[in-house]
Amino acid sequence: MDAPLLEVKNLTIRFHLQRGVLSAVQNVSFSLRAGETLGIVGETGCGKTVTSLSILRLIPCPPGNIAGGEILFHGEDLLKKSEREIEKIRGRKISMIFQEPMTSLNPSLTVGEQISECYRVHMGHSGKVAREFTEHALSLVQLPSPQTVAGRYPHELAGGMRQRVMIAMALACQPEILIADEPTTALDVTIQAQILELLKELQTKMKMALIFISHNLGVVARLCDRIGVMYAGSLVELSDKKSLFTHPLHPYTQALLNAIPRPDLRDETLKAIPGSVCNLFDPPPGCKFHPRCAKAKELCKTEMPRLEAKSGENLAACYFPGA
Amino acid sequence: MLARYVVRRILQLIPVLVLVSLAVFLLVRVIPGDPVLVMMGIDQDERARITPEQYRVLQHQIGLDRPIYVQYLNWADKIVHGDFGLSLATRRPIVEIIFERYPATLYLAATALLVGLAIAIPAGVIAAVKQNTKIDYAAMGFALWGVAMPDFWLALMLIVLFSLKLGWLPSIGYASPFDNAGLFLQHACLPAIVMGTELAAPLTRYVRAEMLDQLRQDYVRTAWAKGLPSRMVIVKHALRNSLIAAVTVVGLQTARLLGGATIIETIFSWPGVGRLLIDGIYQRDYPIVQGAVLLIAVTYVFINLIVDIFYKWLDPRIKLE
Repeated sequence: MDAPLLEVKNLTIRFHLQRGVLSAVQNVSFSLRAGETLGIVGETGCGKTVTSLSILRLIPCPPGNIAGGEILFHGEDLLKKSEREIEKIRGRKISMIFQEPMTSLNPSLTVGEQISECYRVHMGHSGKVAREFTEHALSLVQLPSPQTVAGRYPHELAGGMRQRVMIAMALACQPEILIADEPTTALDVTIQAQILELLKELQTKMKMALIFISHNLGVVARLCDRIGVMYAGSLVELSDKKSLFTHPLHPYTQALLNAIPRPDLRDETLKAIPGSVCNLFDPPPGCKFHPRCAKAKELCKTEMPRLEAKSGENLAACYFPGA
Repeated sequence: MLARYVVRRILQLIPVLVLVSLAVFLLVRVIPGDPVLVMMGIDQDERARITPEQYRVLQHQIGLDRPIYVQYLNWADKIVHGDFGLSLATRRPIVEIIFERYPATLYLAATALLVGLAIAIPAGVIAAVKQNTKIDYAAMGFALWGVAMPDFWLALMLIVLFSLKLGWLPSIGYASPFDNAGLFLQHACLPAIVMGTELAAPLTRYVRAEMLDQLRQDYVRTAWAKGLPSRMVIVKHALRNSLIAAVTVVGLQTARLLGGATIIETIFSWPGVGRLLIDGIYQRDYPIVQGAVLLIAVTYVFINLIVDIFYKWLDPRIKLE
């Protein structure tokens, strides 16, 4: 098997805030192979966005602090690179698109300008060549009349078009990895489907790896090969898509799947997960899910389980995985 | 698009200008005392100096025996045709006198504006980027000092230091920048620093606050994520959007520089409109006061127009209501 393209090892991120120290991400490890699609799911505040931002070193420090771990890209630790070196990777080798396409685009520059500056900065193209590439990029994301769109400002475009512009911008320099942080959450359902379709198509065309972050299991299921589940700053399960949906290993994953409304179980009440997410300023000892877990034993309350292979290549951080 | 906006905006100025002219017209009428005497620059207690016959002739000459709206329309008609009347002191046309003085005010305001922007923009940006460092505290210290320091005091202190003690710069006088640029800069240096500081102090704070706000925006994160070098992220993305908000402040301050420089112009004997106004008041030359006030007010209105157009050009989201 090839060496992984990206390897995150024991990543720990803390935020030093007035209220205290918040452990946003704890000991997270995963790897990504070239061309693969990895989904990361979890509820708001579980650390999935922080993890993805840290790959491009976009965590504001302070208050953020990458307290430990490594992020290896082609075997080189991104966390040890200088600001200048990381600038050459951002947008060129690893790109990112964000949840809110309206606020993520500069309101006072035309979209064409915002895309073409990628070509000028990373490829050293002249203004004219960059403009041609920009129009090509806009046609790749299937925007009608790219020339017109290039001259528009973000507020003149609809939500779905803006996200297409974001995608065109992120893919401008044909990166090896695209990180998509809830790219469809702010869009309505029909547009969501179109954007997902587009992402999938472009991924195959450009042969890039994709890290897709979402709180929506259904969306992740459509797109991803492997799925990581995060809870309270830790990766609790990392399985291939099929196993995750048929034989979830971690009780949290099982609970999540049970909480999805299904038409065939119309007469049953939806099983919500009891309790609420732990306080990240003061997490409970042991497994952080134990106060909400039906299977929790004494061991779970004292010892934090490690993410280990439990069934084939599928990993879980649980002492009592599986059904 | 922009051209149509400009035309509509200029049409909107008409009612404003009418109001301004009304205010200036009424200015002389609401000054305590008899407007005939006021217009002639004669004290109330000196009224005995002229006979009732002379009084009526004067009254008729100035047109004060007609209804007030007729007076206004006549006056406005003359103003529109560029006739502001004659100075009582020198008997020269007001327009001539004012436009002799106006360039000096313009040049000084422009120089002060450049000084102010050259201080405020870099200081505000650096303070925001280096928030809570010594550089930030220094910039904020300057801003507080600049706001708290009365401009006439700063002017006097600069004269004491640079003119009297060191003898580097003249404290009074003027030369047109087109006749002798070097001499102009020598003379404009101190007043421009005083007025520039006054402009820069609040503007530094404003730019810093705006920059802090913009640097937290999602689109700035996108710019970082694209791999743009930090200077491009800060200047092209964050600063551009910060300045959109700052333009309003700069515009109002510029209008103040053009109209309100009376004290500084007087201290430095700068032959501008501000000093003309002060002299006019001292000499009770009311037509001069009227002309100068009207010019200052019109300047304000037009600066505002320019600011709005500039704003529109910078921020494509602004639509004319």
